[in-house]
Amino acid sequence: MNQNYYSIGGCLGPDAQTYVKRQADDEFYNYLKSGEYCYVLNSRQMGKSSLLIRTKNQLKQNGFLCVDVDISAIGTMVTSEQWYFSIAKNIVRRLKLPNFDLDTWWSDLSRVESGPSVYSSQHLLSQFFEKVVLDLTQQPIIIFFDEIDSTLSLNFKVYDFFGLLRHCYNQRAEHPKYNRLTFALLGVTTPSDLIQDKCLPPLNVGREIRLTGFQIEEAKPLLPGLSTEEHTARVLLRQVLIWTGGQPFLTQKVCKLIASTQTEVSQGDEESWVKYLIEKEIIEKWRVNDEPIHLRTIDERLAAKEKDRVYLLGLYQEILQKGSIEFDGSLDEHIRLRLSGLVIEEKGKLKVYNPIYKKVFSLNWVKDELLKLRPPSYIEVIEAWESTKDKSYLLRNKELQKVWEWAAGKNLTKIDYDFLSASQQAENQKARSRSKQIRNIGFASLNIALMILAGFFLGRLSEKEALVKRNISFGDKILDKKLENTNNLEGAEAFKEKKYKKAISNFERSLKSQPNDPETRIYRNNAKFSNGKSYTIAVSVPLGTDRKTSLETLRGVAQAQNEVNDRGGIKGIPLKVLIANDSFDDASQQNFAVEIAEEFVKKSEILGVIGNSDSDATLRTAKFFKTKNLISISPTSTSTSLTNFSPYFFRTVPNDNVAAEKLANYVKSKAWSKPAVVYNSGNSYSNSFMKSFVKSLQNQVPQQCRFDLNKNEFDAAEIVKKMRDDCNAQAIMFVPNSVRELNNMLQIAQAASSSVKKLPLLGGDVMYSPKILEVGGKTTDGMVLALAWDIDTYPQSSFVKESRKLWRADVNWVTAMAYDAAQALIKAIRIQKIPTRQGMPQALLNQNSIALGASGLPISFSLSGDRIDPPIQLVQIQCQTSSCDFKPLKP
Amino acid sequence: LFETLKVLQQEVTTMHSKPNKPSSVRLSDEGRKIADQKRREKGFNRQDVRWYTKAHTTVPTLKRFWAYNIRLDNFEALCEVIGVDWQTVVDWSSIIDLPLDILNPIDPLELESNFYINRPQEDECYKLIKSESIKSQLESNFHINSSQENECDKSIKDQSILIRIKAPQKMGKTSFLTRVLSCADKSSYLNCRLDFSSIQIDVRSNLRSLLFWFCTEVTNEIGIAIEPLEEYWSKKISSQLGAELDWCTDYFERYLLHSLKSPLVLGLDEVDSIFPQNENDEKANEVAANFMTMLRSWYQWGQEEENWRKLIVLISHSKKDYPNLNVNNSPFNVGHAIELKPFSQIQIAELVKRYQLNFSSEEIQHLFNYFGGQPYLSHRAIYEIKAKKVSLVQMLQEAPTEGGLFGDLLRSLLSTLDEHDTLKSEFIKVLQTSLAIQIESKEAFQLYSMGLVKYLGNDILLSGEIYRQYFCNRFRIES
Repeated sequence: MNQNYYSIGGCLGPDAQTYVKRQADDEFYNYLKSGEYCYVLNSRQMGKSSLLIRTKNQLKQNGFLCVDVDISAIGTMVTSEQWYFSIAKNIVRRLKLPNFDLDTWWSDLSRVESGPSVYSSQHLLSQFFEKVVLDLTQQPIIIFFDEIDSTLSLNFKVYDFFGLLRHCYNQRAEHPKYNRLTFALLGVTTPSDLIQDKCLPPLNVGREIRLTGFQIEEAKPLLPGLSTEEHTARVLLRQVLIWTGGQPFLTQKVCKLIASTQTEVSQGDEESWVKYLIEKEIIEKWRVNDEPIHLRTIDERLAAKEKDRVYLLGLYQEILQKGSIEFDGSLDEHIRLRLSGLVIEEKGKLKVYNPIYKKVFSLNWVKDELLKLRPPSYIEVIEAWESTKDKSYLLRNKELQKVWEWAAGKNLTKIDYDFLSASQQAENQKARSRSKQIRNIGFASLNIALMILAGFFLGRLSEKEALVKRNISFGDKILDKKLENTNNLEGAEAFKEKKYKKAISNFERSLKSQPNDPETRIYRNNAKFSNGKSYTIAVSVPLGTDRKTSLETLRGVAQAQNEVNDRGGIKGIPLKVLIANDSFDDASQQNFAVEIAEEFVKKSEILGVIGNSDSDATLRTAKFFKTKNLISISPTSTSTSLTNFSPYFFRTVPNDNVAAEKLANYVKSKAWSKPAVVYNSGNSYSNSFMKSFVKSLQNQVPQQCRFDLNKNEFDAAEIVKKMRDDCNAQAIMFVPNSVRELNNMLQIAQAASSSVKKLPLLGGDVMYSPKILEVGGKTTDGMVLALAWDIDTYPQSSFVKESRKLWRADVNWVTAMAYDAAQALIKAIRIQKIPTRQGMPQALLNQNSIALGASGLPISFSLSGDRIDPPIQLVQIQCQTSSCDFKPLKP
Repeated sequence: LFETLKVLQQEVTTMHSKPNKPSSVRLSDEGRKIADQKRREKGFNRQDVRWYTKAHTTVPTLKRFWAYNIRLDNFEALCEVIGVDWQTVVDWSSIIDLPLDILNPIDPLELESNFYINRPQEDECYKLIKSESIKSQLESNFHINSSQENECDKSIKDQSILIRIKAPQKMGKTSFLTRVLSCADKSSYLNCRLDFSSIQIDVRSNLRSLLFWFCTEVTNEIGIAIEPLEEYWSKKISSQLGAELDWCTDYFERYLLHSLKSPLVLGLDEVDSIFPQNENDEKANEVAANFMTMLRSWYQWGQEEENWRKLIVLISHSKKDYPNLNVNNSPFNVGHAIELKPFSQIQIAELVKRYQLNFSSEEIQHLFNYFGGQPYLSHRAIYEIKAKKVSLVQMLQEAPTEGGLFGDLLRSLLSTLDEHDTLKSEFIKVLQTSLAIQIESKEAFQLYSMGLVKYLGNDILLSGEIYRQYFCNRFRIES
C-alpha cells in the first residue's frame, strides 16, 4: 500500500490515477463541446478544480483551445481598469499567441477610444474577445473563469463583466464566429449572489453542473491503494463511502489514511478497522488533525455572518434531530447551509452530508456552540422549557428585557423565538390580570394603573408619537381601512407576535381574494424574511387624502420588492418596506408628513424613502431630510421648485418643464398659433406648468389667451367666447391644479366642443384620470397629454407582464414611477459594500451601475435630483362608439 | 570613542594572528549597503562564484557574510575582492572571540555545526524536492536512498511542489528550512531564502512595495542581473496595466523561470509575519491575503505548466489560523505539510552529549520537562551551561526571571498576552492546572503558535515548566 497513491487538497492533475469520474464529468464535457455556457457553483472541496483540469485536458485533445483564468489570482487590490486588463492578460498568457503584445494593443486601443468613459475597460475587453481571441485563432475556444466568487470581494462591481459574457452569447445570432467562444464559470457561491442585477443574466443562457459525491461504482480508481487483496479493497471502499457519503475530499483523505497505516486488514475486520481509523484520526482530534483544512472551514462558514450563527445552528440542529427538513430554495439560510457543505439537498430535502460530519458536528457540538452564543442565564431555562413546556421556566421582567436586548439584531432559532414570545405573552397576561384587579379597587387608581400600563407598553408615548406609530407599519397593522379583511387582520396580529409563518399564510389568503392589494403584498414580503438581516426602505403615501395615488404608488414598490426578493434579495439580503400614511383630511394635520419623516430618520435601519406624493408635502419633507442626510425619491412630485432643491432629494417622474416642453413642441409641430391656456395662478403646480409651457412656445401666448381661474368668476361660456373673439385660439391647453378642478375644465371643453369648429385639446398630467373618461366622454376625444409612462407603449416589457400577473389589472404611470424609485434605491443599496445612509446619494448618482426602470430605460439622476433623459411621452384620449381610452400618440 | 575603537581594532588584529582562536565579525548596517554597492559595480551578484573563489572561500560563507558573523580572515578576503576596506564596513560590536564552533549555536546557518540535531522530517523534504527534478526532466545528482522512491515519484509526478513547514515559534523552523535549502544547493539546485519577518512595516503594508521587494530579493539571491527587473517594474508603473499581482507573476514567469536551467528552491521563512499584529488592520490584511493568493496561484500554474514546475516553494509559518484569509485562496491548504515537533528526550540527551556535558538521566529528564523540548530554549540553555560553566540548577533558577537568559522572549510573550484579554484569561486556566484541559479553540491555536501550550488530542497542556514559573509569578497566581 502506498499512501502517496492518494492526494488531498488542491486538485488532482489530469492524469492522476485516483481521479473519480462522475456524471458531472460527462455533462460538463458534452455541454461545453456543444458550445453551451456552463456554471459549476458548489461548496468547497467537492472536486471542482480537478473536474476543471480533467475536462480541459479532454477538450484539448479534441481540438479545443482551453483557457482558464483564476479570478482570485488577480487579487482584490486593483482598480476596475487593472482588473479587466488582467483578465485579458491571463487569457493571452494561456493562449500563447505568437507575436502578440497585449500591452501595446490595449494601450493603443484605449487611446483611440473616446475619452475616459466608464465603460471603456469593459469595451476594450469586448474588443479583445472579438479582435484577438476570435480573430487570431481558428479553433473553438473555451474560457473557464475559476474562483468566480472572488469577484464579490472586489471593491467595484463587475456586472458589466457578466453582461459582456452575455453579450458574446447574443452575438452568436449575427456573427457566427462567436459560436466558437464558450464560457464556463466555477466557484463557491450562488447564482443570485453573483449576479444581482436582474437585467444582466448571463447565467440564464448557461447550464448548471451539479457536483455530487462519489458513488460506489464510480469510485473504483480508489481501490488499488487500499489493499493488495482486491476483495478487501472493495469492502474497505464500501465502508469508506458509508462514512464519507462520497464527499470527495473526505473520501480521498480516508483512503490515504488507510493506505498510510501500512496494515493489511484481514477479511471480516474491514468495517471495524475503518471505523477505528476514522474515529481516532479524523473525529477524535478533528480540530488538530484537520490538515489540509476541511472541517474547520465548514465551522467557519457557519459563522461567516456572526449574527446569523444562532439561526444557522438552530436550523442545523433541527436537521440533526429530524433527520431532514424540507429544502426551500428561496431561503438564504438554506442555501448558505448547503454551500457550507455540511448538508446536502437530496430529493427536495436537506440532510447532513455524512456520518463523519454527524459525529464531528454533533448535537453536543451544536449545544456547545449555542452555549457560547446564548446568554448564560438563559441557557438552562430554555432547555428546561423546551423539554417540559412548563410555564414556570418562562422569563420575567428584567431577565426577559435583558434577553430581548441580546436578541436585538440577531437571527435566532425558532425555539428562541417561541420561548421569548411565550415569555412575553405570559408577561402581558400578567399585566392585564393585574389591571383587572386594580379596576376593582376604584376608579382613581384604575386611571393611575392604566397610565402606568400605558407607559409600560407604549414606552410613554405622547399623543403625537402614538399617532405616528398608528400610521406606520411593517405588517403589524393594516393602514388602509378599506383593504382590511379577516385574513390580513389576522396576519397582522400574527406579525405583531412574530409568528411569521402564520402571518405569511394569512396574508397570502388575503391576497387570493384581493390580488391587487399592494399593502398586504408588501407585508407578506416583509414577513417572509423577517427572521434575518434585511435592508429597509420606507414609502410615504397620502392614504388619507389621495387613496388612489397611494395604492398605485404602493403597487410599484411592492412589485419591485417582490422581484428583488424572489431573486434572493440584494446580495442575498432581502428588502423590507415600511409603509406610512402621511396625510389626513384635516387641516390641523398639514404637517403630518414631516412628523412621519422624523420617524423615518429615527429608525436608523431605513436607508432611503420613497415619497412624498404631491409637491407641497415633498417640499416640506425634502427640506427636513436635507438636514438629516436621508435621501428621498418622489415618484409623483413634478414641481420645478424641487429641481436643485437638496442633494438628498431625487425624483423619478419628469418635472413640469419636461411635460410642458413636450406639449409645447407638439403644438409647434402642428403649427397651431396661439393656444389658449386655462390655469390657476393660486396653485404652484398649475402656475409653474403654465409658465414653462408659455416659455417653450417663445411667449407666443399673449395675455388675452391666458385664463386664470383664480381671478375671474367662473363662467365656461364666457371663457370660450373670449378664447374665440379676443384670443383667436387654435387649441386649448388645460392645466388644472387638481382633480377637483376637473369639472370646470370639462365644462370649458364642453362649451368649446359645442361650437362650430372643434378646437384641439391639450392637458397636464392631472387630466390623466379615469374620471375624465367617465365624465368627459366624447367632449375630451382627441385631447393630448404628456405623461412619464403609458402601459400601451411597452406592452411587451417585463414590467408590464409582471404587473399584469401580480395585480390582474393594468397599472399607470404612478406605479411605474414608484417602481423606478424602488429600483433606484435597490441599486444604490446593492452597489455599496456596506450600505449606509451616507453612501446612498453617491450610490444613486453612480453611473457605473445602472438600474433599469419600467420602460426598460436606465434610471439615472443628475446632481439636480432630476432624472437624466427623463421618460416622457404623449397620449391621446381616443373614443370608440361607447368608450374612451388613453392611447399612446404615435409620432 | 575613537581611541577605544583603535584599541579594539588592535585587539582584533592580534586575535587574528592566533590561528587557534579566530575572531568572527559581521557587516554593520551601513557596511552592508557599501558592500552591496561595491559588488554591483564589480558586476557580482550576492553569491557570485567569481567572488568567493577569488577570496578562497565558499558559498555558505559568502551567504553568511551578508547577515551573520564569519571568520575575520574570510571577512577581510571578501572585502578585498570587491575593493572595500574591511574596517569601514565591519560592525565593531559584533566581534566575538569565542571558539567558532560554539559561536552563536542558534545560528541557523551553522549547518556544518556539530550541534545541529537532525530532524526526521528532513528526509521527507528531500524526497519531495527530488521527485520534482524527475518530472521536470532536469539533471540532478540529488539522491536519497529510499525503497519507495519510484512509487512515490509516479503518484506525485503531475504536481507542483509546495512544502509547508509549520510549527510554533522557536521550534527551529528557520534552521530546518536553511538546512534543507543548503542541501539542495549542493546538488545543483538554485536556492534562495527570504526572511519575511525582517520586512519593514512600510514595505509590507503596501502591496506594490512588498511585491517589488520580493522580486528584488529573489533576483539578487539567485544571482541574475537586477536591471531588467528595475526596467520592467518602472514600465509597469508608468503603464498601470493589469493587477500588481500579475506584474510579479509575469516577471517570475518571463524573466526568472524561463531562463533557469535548474529548479529553484524558494524558501520563504516566517511568511506569515506579513499579517499585521493588529487583526483589524484591514489594509495590511488585504496586502497579506493578496500575496498569499498569488503564492497559491503559482502552485496552480505548476499543475499544468512545465515552466512553473521549476519552482519549488518551501514556506515556514507558525500560525494555524488566518482569520482574514480565505483559506481556499491561500497556499496553506495545498501541498505537503511538515510539522516540526519539539526535541524528544533522546535528542536532548544527544545534544547534551555533543556539548560534552555530563548529565545524569534525571537531569536530562528535568531539562526536557522544563523547556518542553523546545529546540531554541533547550539548545540555548545547554549552550549557556557549557559556555558560562554554570550548573543546571543555577541555570534553571535564573531562566524564568526578567534578567535571565530568556528575559526578552518571556517579556514579548507577556506583552502579547496583556494585549489580548481573552487570550490571557484562557491561558491562566491552563496555568492553573497540570492537566490537559479544553479551552476556546481560537485561543488554543494562538497559544499553541506562541509555543506556550501543546496539544493532547483536542485538549491542551502547558508546554514547559518555565512558563508556569514565569507567568504564575507575573500574574500573581498560585501554581
